[in-house]
Amino acid sequence: MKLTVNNLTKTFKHESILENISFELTSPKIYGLLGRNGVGKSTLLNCICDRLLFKQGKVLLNEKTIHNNNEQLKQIYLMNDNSETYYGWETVSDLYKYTDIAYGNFNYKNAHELANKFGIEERQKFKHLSTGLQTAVKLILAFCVNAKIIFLDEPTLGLDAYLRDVFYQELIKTYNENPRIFVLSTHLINEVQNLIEDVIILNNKKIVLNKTSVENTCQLVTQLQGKREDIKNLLGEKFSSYDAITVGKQIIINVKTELLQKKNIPTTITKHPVDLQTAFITLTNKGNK
Amino acid sequence: MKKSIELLKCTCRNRIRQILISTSIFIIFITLGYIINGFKSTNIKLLINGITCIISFALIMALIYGYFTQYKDYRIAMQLGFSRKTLWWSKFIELTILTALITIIGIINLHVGYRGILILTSMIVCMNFSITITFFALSSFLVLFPRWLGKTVMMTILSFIIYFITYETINITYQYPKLVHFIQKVLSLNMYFSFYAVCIIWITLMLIISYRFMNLIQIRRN
Amino acid sequence: MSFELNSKEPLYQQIAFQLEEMILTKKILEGEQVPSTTQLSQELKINPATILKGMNILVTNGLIEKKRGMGMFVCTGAYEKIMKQRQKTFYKDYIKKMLQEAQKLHISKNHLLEMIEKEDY
Repeated sequence: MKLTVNNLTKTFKHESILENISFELTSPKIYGLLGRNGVGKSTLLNCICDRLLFKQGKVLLNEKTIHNNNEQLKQIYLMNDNSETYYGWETVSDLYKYTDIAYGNFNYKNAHELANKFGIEERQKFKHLSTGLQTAVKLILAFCVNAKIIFLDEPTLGLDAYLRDVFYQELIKTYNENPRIFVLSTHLINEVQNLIEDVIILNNKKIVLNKTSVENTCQLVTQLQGKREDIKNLLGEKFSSYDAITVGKQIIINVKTELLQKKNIPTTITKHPVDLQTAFITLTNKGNK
Repeated sequence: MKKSIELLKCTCRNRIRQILISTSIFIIFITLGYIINGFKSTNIKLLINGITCIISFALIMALIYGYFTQYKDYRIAMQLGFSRKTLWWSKFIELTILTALITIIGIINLHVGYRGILILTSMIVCMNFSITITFFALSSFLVLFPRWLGKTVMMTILSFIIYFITYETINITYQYPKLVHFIQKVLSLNMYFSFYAVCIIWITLMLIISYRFMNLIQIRRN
Repeated sequence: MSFELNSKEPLYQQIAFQLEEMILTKKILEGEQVPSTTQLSQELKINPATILKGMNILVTNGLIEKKRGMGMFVCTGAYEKIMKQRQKTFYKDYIKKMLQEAQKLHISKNHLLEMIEKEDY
């Protein structure tokens, strides 16, 4: 099971949103798709799932194009934050039925269990649920559908802390029971750090990071602590005071590790590892290009 | 396309709801009309006439509503992993069935016993089908534009046509000698062959257009 | 299970360390079964691949082994191995840091030794 995206370019009214996007997804794995607001994560996912059309590039599932191809489309599923998806009079059970008719082999047993855990009454109308519970229903559909690649676009939208915890728990559970490809696109990086295996970062219309594990991503950024003067001397023109936390003459600054290569770091400056969220912020900072 | 039947299973519940809603609205209006005018002479023929009028009109309303829900149908199809091709096929099947029903009921309405009935029937079928498929193409085209524009254009055109058709239909049904006269004229002109040819060409053209436009449909930004 | 995990060090290394701790403190005995990848990933809400990576470190070091069809078990001699390994790194991990801190606070060597003598060890 392999999904390949080749040189995908998406333009909207002569302005490009995505340029030459290429990456691969292999099974089984949980991927994290990270990117700043408005960078085009949803656009990318919609393009992959044949909801948006693009002129350049290809999306292939096991070497076959997905576009307009029922066989391939039935192997992927996209859960997104759009609330216009259904007609409006359907109950939660109706949504189960739709998904069962369309994809076949819907896991009803699991769905009922999950509905209990999320606290959802299945006879309720989908439109009458709160945002958080609507997201929960969409998650149930995503976990119980018979598809090999599941894309989750903002899966925590509106979910309170308790339900987010349930979501993470159930994600691991369903992944253990039925290993497949999951792609999580979320802004709560610190919460998903332990759940994802590989990281994909989208920035400035391009993929800037791909095929990198969480640990390796974190190692791309180092935190330096020391005297302002010393660090300024070390980094030279790359030093930007905006990114530093200043406490008197001491500063704490997160920098890309590649800036420190081939440099002798004096003992007055200490190096520290960072977590995924900090690494992401530093890597996608406009100042630190 | 077997997949389109699966999609139809999901969308047909919505369509049936629309039919029921429009039928009940008409029944309410007709009942109101009866109440206001008092229950005058009710002979069976008139009753059948009335009922078939209501039903066919309700079906037409449901059909037209279908043109307005193109985007919603597309969203559901897409969420459930159906391709645009399947969506087009399912819409086409739906339209065919609805048009057939409308035509059959319309013909019952005419209760003609003339020998021209076969030709009459097929001509009516052709005309109806052309009309529905033309609108299929038009609505597929309009879906590509912002919602307000598409809806306004469609509403205007359709209101005009509905008014025209209903006026003429009611006219015709109560004055079928005029219709027979029209048919005899057509038959005498030996035009009915080219009439069908034109119909078929037009329908094919419209189907191609709707297929092309449907393949361009995309998700809208909120 | 009282796993304490931070978000700075690579997670799989922390998993390996915590498993070693459990063997060292005899919370799991030699020959006993180690919780499976599935169980651990479920309980801790961590990707099973990461857990597996951590466990593989122990497998490479000969501390746990896979018994086919049954799961992961602690090898005999694992306790000793971990003990020896930790004894080697004890100086770097604890003594050196203690001496640095004592120097910072101007605590003399004699004073340090006095403090150690005082404890029941």
